[in-house]
Amino acid sequence: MNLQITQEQHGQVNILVITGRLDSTNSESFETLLTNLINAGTSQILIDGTQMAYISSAGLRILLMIAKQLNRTRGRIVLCGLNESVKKVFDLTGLTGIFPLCATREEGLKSF
Amino acid sequence: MWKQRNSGFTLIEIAIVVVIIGFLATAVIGLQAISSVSRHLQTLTQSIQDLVKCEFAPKPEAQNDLQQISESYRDEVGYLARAFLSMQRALQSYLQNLARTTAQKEKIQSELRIAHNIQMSMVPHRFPRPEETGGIMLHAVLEPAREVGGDFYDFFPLTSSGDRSAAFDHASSLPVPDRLAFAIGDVSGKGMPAALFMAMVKTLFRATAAACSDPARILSKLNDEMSRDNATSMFTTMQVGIIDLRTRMVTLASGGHNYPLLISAEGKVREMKLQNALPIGVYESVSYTNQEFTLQEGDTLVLFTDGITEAMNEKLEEFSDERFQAILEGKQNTGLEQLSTNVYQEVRRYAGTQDPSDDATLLLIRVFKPQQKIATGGPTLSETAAFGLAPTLPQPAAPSNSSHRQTVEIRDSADLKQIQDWLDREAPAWGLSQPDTHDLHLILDELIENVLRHGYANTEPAQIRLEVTVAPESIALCLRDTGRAFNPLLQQSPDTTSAVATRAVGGWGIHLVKQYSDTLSYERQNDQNVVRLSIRRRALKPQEGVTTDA
Repeated sequence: MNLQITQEQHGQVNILVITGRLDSTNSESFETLLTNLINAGTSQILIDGTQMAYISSAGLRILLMIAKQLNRTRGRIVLCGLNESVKKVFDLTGLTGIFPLCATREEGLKSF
Repeated sequence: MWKQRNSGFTLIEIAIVVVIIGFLATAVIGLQAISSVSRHLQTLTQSIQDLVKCEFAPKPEAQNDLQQISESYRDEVGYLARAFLSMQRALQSYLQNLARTTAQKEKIQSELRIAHNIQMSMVPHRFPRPEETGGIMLHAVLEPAREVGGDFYDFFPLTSSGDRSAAFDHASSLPVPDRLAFAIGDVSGKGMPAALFMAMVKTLFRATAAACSDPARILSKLNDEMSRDNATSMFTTMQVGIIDLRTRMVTLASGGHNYPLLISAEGKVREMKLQNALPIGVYESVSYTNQEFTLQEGDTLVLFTDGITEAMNEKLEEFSDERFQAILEGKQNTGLEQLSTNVYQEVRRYAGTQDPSDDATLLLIRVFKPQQKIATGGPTLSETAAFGLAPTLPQPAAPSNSSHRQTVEIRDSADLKQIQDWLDREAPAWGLSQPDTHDLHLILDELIENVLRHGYANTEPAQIRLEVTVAPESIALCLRDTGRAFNPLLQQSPDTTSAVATRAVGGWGIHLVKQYSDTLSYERQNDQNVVRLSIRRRALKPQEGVTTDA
């Protein structure tokens, strides 16, 4: 199950639909993609994780780094649609407190 | 006659005289030569004796003699003298170095002793009597792994008249407190850097808690303060609580700290699952959550740092939550000081000759119960299990277990796919649910990533052998690699100099593995790293599955 990321634009919000696993085998390409987005001026990112099977600490690291960068520029990163297993990983690492987690994409979009 | 006699003895006399003179001359010359050599040897012998007596410092006159011998004789004696002088010089310089290093070390030791005393004086040691607190008893112990450490605890009374805080030592001059604030924390890393960070957090905590009596807000303020310009990227896990002394209601907020335990008035121990947010100092603007519960008469709240549960024995096995809870079980009537002593004794006995790897802190808070009776016996094991505690030992292997082996060569993270594919392919046949497969994927990912980084330093292909045993209730995993000896369980204190992002990876990975594992052990066996763990299989919930065909 390879990682696939599709980008959609919804107003000011950049939606990234993640399909598959976000782990150390592909975290670098994920990092490049996000860094490019931010360098291009994006400050509002919604990660749609409905199809995300799994995230490892390598993926979490990238998300935290991006959150830090966005924090400086008053931007925001929101996650939505995480399944129970993925959400548990966020809970266990205490990251639930940093990333707004929404149940659905609609809620996620409303939160911006 | 005379002449005749004279001439008659002349030849013999001459011969004898010549022989005698010759003999004497030879003897004198020989003796002179011998005495010259032996005098030099005596000088040398004396110098060697003086060397020991005078702590290797040369006597000036002997030094001159030796210098002269070494310069004017080209024979063995001269050679010996030169060798001696050079040895003396080497010894002297060695001794000077030694003296300098020892002095420096003593200075550092003495400074550390002072630092230890200062640190110990930063945490309160006078525990209030129940009548000072309306029936709340407290006791705490802090044992740093080295002279100083990063653990801390604190407690102090709060009065409603402006929330002025003070230590109990001065409580008599203040109105009777109506609340009690308490905290426990564990700074990342240990030793001096952790101690300095601890001092900062502890001081800030007092200042913050004096102005605001809401645990979540206290943590949040502390976190903002500590995260800002946090150049060393150190952090601390921390729990802050406030107990209302009339209603015994506890408000508690937690930043990445291990869950507290509660010993009920009946002696049963349970873990209090709290909502945990990030540790203090990692990231600004984290919000913490207050959680409220009320203590009943005879209840004991147990806050602790992982130095207790993660203390290791010679085989590098952890003391474990189960052993800790077993000690507390049925101890609802044991005095708090006695109970603390029991805990530390057991931990020390378990650790044996293994040095403590982390600071260990225990903070006990009990609601006094009038006429507490002496317990006649602890609860039975079945009662403990019924109370929701994890059984201490892994489940015995059920007959329907199935074992699956796989050996792979992994060069870098991209090769992890081999294992992921293998697991994806096989998991359905083993009867693993989606959530179980997810957990196994995550654990394998983090462990193998770790092996690559530490066992092989990302330089050579890793030889990894995997064995997955699926039992009805649990999954056992054994992972062997031929890399350098590396115990991932010891990775709990990340280094304190690298940036927060790079450092947190290792910390999170192993942290997650620990969280998911019921049992986890490491050993070095036949030049291989062997990690064994077991996870409890999750009950399958229909809405929890995710689609694999993405």
